[in-house]
Amino acid sequence: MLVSAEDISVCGTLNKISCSFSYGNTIILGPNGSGKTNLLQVLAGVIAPTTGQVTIDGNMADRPTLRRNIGYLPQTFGLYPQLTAQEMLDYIAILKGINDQKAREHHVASALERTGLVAVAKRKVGVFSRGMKQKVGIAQALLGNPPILILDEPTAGLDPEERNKLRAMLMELGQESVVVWVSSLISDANYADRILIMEQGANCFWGTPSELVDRGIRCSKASYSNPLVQNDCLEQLEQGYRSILCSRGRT
Amino acid sequence: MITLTDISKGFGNGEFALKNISLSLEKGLHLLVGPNGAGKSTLLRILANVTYPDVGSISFYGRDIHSDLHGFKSRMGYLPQVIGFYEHMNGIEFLRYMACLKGVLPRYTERRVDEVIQVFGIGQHANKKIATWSIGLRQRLGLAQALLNDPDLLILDEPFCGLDLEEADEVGQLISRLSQNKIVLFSSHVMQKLAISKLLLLIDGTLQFAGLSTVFLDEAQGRVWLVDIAKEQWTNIQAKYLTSTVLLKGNRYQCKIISESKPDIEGASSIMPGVEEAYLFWLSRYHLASGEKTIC
Repeated sequence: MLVSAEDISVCGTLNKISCSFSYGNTIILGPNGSGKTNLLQVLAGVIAPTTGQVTIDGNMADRPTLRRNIGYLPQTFGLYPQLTAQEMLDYIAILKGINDQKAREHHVASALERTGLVAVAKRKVGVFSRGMKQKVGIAQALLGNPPILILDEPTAGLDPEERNKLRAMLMELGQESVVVWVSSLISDANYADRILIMEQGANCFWGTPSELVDRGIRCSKASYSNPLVQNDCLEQLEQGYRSILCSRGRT
Repeated sequence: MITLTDISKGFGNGEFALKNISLSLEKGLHLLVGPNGAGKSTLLRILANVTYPDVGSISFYGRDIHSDLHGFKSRMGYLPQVIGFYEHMNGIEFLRYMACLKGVLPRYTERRVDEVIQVFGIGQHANKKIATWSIGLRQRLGLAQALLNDPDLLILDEPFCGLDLEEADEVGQLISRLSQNKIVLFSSHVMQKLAISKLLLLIDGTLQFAGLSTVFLDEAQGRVWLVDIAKEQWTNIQAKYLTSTVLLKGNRYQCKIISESKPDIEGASSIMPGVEEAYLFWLSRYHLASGEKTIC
């Protein structure tokens, strides 16, 4: 499966951006305000682009088609605090059009299992920590096994252990689906097959983590002088990211 | 110096959010880490006097904070995890309003508002409605309001959340600078590359470590391994070992494993632990002690 954004513009945020996403994990990085969330919203059919189109396997996809094929986690996700995680997911499954109760139960159980929420499924989401709420958000995106997953900042607010588990989960999901996610954490890029870096609504880097690391190795200036910081691949990845933004005129 | 003595806070159902927390913090930059739901925000809220402990006491420079609550609040600044802004106000109006709520004397208000706007570099946007501000700018505004009363104690709950790399660098440098003459305590899930005076690890409402970050790292020494594996091995490795950073290199993964003994993987080499690996090591040690989960 191949999802493509072709010459997408959204007034004030996206500037004729073109990119294609196939099976595997693609992470989108970039400064706040660079248009990452807007691109995801266009791909998920939440907003319509001013110009350009989204295609799936070469066929133009309208917004209902996109919504049918895509599981989407928005940046801010509203939950009904009085519902349990299971009830919340069941309700979203109904909204997604999974009308058969048995099928719904199966999809909800599978989503709870995949996100490690089984133990807290009967607890009200109002008492959940931010990380657990985030997992409910990911679980709702997985409902119905959509072939394309679009996730806006799925690792935000997660502790390192949960973050690593989620990254591993996304890597696994990427083996059978198209996973596109946005992150503010450069370290998340380590887990992706491909990296898209955006700046001012345009694509300014497309490549693999190794290619970004190679860029970083060529620029060794560290931002902090803390001796505890190792000169490892994460540091080089950050340097690579910085060098790309520097070349676009950012300091 | 701020000192907490035997602070406990319950959920009301017999379970504890915080249990017997005792610690002292002096001027400097202190990092509070722990899993989601460990009680970090509750601890910060208690310090900021937003919520109260069931038992225990807090003294600030030797004086119980409740003996002069007004005096304590006038010397404390707090950035909550989620901060509500009045979207229709502009930055200056919001800061003036917050200065008023914080009891900054009217004759000092304009000067303080100007100062914090300068410090956080939000002058360009100060006259625009907050509704139009980006996440990064809002976070800076949140930090700015915490500094309005020029506090001696600054409590920041996830100040880096939502910031991009560049903004996180700026905020990191700023709070480092502020910690030269203030007690700055912040929580974070992102192990920032900052020089930390004291690192606090909170798990299940109990303080598992409070001390120098070098000591925190030393404990994990010899327990972090770098391995290079084929993509197909990843699932098995992950099921068997606790893993940290992974880098995809073509069809191979380079990953860090946290393990008491050398993993049974060809070419595994011991490496210096980073703060995140040390954190995972401490966490696994806690789980091991409580019988929840083991590391190899």
